[in-house]
Amino acid sequence: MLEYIGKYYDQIFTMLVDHCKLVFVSILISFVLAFALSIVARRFKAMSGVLLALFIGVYCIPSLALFAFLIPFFGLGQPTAILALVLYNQVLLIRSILAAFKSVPSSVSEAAKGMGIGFLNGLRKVELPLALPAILGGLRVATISTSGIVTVAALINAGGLGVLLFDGIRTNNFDKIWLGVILVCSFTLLLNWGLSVLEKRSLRIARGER
Amino acid sequence: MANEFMIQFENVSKQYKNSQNPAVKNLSVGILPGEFITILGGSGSGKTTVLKMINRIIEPSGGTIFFKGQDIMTLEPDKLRREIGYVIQQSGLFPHMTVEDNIALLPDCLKQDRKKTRERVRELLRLVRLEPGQYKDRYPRQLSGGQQQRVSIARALVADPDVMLMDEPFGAIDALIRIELQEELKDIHKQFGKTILFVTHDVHEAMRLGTRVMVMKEGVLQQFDTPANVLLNKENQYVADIVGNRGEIQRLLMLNARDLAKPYAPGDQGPQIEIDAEMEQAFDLFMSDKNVDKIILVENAKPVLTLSRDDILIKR
Ligand SMILES: Nc1ncnc2c1ncn2[C@@H]1O[C@H](COP(=O)(O)OP(=O)(O)O)[C@@H](O)[C@H]1O
Ligand SMILES: [Mg+2]
Repeated sequence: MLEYIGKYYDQIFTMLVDHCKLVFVSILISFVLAFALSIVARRFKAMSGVLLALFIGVYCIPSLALFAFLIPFFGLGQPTAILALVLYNQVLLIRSILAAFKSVPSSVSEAAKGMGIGFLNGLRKVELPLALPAILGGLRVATISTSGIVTVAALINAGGLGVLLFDGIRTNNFDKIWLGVILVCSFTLLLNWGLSVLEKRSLRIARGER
Repeated sequence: MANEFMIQFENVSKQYKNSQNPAVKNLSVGILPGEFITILGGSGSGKTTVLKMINRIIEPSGGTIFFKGQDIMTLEPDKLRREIGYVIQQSGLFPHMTVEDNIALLPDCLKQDRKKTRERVRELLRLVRLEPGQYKDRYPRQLSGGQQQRVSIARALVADPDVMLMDEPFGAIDALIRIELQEELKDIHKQFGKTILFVTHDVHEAMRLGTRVMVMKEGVLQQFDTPANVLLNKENQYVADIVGNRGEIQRLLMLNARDLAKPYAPGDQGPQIEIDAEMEQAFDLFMSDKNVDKIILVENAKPVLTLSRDDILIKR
């Protein structure tokens, strides 16, 4: 395995960078979209059921099939992969963001509302800081799941560490497979650790234990 | 005509969705500036709903509410809320903010001068008897229940609102501290002349604090009158029930001395007590000295009211 790494380290490095890029970009877009949809769903309660049903439906589609649906419109490559990952993440993220806001004690959000500081100030200064730990918890789960699913995207020429896995399977090269697994797992665990540090810190802030 | 009232309900009803009976039925009352209204009733009688309709946390399903003569539905909700302080039982303090930041949130959101706001916070903390230096940097979890409610009151006062809505603010506070807080709230009311609507299910509290008491049952206003009239001329069976199986004297003792007093007339003579003394104190004076016929209630050392032995029917 070391021999292989020595020989192809620049290619492996590119795959790792692609993997990171895919994960970061799709998580970023997923989160922004899910957050916006959740805020809308909070203001218009009827929306939340519709959104969740829709994205649970999406979540049920196997990833290969979803790629197959999207390729005619977006072609092979990273955009299709990112779009698919964003769609998958919505149900996880919207659910956890809505649950996070629900976990803010109603007395607290009502006190903010009753003061007359407005919807946005209430959200930014009161509800968001208190919901943040649970939101980050959901983000962590979505990130871990994305980092796993993203390997499948190698099938549609999106690059990333999945390439190593598929090459390994095709050529029956277990070194490649192991290397792929080790890199994907280490990367995922690193993200998991980073996000859980943020989560704990946000929890301390929410409790007033700074 | 409506303009003399601070708050006026005109045939206001509230029917919640998925609920059989209306939470509030055809409520019509007018509240004058400076009144201290206590709203008394059992659990589920619609007290909280009445309160929350005033600051538009809940929208009425019928009727009109006027704030200083204006239909509240024509006002911008946040502007209206800034003129109404709101205090709830669970304090609703923001756990991630210090005491100072909790109180300063509204002025900070309105981008008011920070230095002035900090000074205002200190002034308010002193008003609710918390030493600013000691408490302003604490988080809510580092305060006792009573202290949290003090901060909550200070926070509600920050924009100097004309009206305070208080929903069982002392409901979870133990008896001794509760009496202390009640006294302080009375002082604040006297000092600033705010119009206060105060929800409670504690008869004693309602009588002690209220200048008038609204008695509610199942969304219907049963009686709206002074504590003395609610206690002593019970209009209907429900009021009698909620006031309890108490004897005449026990009910009398729930009142303040002023509740049964008459305006002071020159020539009235007798021992003096403070204007907001409790009936108990007057009672003791009458009981301990048979020759006392009248007690003079003084405010700032000036006689204002006279309470006669006959007014509280104590036989010699
Ligand atoms: N959000 C709500 N949805 C449906 N019913 C409610 C809601 N809030 C209160 N109610 C009902 O309205 C009635 C009055 O409630 P409330 O005003 O909270 O009474 P109180 O404050 O006197 O205990 C109760 O029967 C209660 O169950
Ligand atoms: Mg209530």
